[in-house]
Amino acid sequence: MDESLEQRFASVVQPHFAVLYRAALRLTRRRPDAEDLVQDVCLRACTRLEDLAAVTNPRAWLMRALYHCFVDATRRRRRRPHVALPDDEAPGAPTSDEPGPERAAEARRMHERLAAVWHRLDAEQRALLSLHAEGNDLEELAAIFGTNRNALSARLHRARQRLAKLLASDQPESSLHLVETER
Amino acid sequence: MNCDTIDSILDDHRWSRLSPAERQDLAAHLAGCNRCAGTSSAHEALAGGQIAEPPPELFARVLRSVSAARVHAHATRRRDRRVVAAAAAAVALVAVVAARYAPLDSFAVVIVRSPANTYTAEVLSKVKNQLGFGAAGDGGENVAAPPAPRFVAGVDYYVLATALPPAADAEHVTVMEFFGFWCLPCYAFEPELTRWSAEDPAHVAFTRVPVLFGAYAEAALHARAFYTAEALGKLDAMHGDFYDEIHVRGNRLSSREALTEFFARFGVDGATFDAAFDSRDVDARVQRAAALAREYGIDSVPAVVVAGRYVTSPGTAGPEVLAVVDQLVAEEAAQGAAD
Repeated sequence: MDESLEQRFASVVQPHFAVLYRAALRLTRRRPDAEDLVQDVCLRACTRLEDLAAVTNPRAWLMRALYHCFVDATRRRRRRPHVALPDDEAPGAPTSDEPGPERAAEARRMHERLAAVWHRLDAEQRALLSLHAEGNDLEELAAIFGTNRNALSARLHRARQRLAKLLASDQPESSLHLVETER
Repeated sequence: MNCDTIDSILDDHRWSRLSPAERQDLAAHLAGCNRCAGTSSAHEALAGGQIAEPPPELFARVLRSVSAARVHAHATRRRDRRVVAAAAAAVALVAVVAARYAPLDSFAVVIVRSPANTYTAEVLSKVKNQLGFGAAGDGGENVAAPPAPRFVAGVDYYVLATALPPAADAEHVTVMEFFGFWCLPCYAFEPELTRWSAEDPAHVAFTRVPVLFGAYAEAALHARAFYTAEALGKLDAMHGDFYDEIHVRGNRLSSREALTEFFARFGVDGATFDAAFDSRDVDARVQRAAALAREYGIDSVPAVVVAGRYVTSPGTAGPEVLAVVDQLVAEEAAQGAAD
């Protein structure tokens, strides 16, 4: 066993770690799940370190791995149910510097509604919207999802419209829900 | 401005960088177009708020689990090889050997207890030697490596960045369950946990800690009721019933009156209940419970904290969660003995 595996892993992955985590947090919307997901991606990266070190765009590689791990996890992983508690650091959670109580209330309401409908999007749509919100442009997304720019933009628009519909139709409800078979 | 323009503004992340004139155009379009009003508010919901940076210890933790997974994979391969050797020695044992994930030290027991057991002591001792269980000098040439821990940090449990050992004597390892009576998965976990705690190994100090998450209206009330029962010495009698009352009988116990009535069934009259419920002692216990959950960063229940240092849960470790707890307790106890 070579001592340097950890070092090599760190030198390739660490520069992209914050982006990876933020994307995972947007995708899962809960910190513990984001941490699990980041860990899955890193374990995968570790087994394919040679590939990863050789690619020109390691960030896109990691984002693609993130997407695949997320899909795998939603598809296969059977977790025993537990009650997820509200996560005030989840993306979109209102911040204390929100101007005025009305804006803060509005932000909280939006955060809760988003959390309530998020799991009703399919995994690819959640991934598309999250990675886009994390600042990837259409070219980057096309590379990550292995498709061309036009097809990707059409999928992104569909995902956004579906989310808009869910947000409009969903009755405001608590963002707390029983986490059943997916994380 | 039309729908396509708006889509491309969203696509290209230009939403927050529009000029005042563009903003006006945009507002005019949104006023008359439900589709774009919807998609742009969806976009805002996604982009809005702040995104947390990774917790400072996360990378280190991931790195540790990367190393641990490698060690674990290696240990598993070793174990497989030993199992294969045993199978070659005694083909008849193949079916039993297939249960290679049974804890190694109970493995021999499985063989002995098998009802179809026709193996001679000689075969058994041969297999045990091959597996590395032979007593020293009992013919076994293999010196068994200590078995690798079955459960791994970062996978089956998490190590807290700052260990906060609870005040306990040196002889006991503390195990705390964080739970809520209102929580269905906690209720589901309860029978298993009760059985486990009833075995009561001498070196474990087990406590339950109710969580007080504000979003559940009943949480604070139930936590107070829990400590009221504890203060009155009624906890053992009431704990299981508390769950049943909520999840079986559908009485959410969501008011003080409901709780008074519930306590009365256990022979606690209203005055005694009130005095305990409002006492400073109960107040202090509730505050302490809230502080513990905060310190350990408990964000879902049920969760089990071992030695103030490790966190696991049925959600993390799956059905083997209590075996994970046992392993951690054993490691802590061994550590304590070594110190």
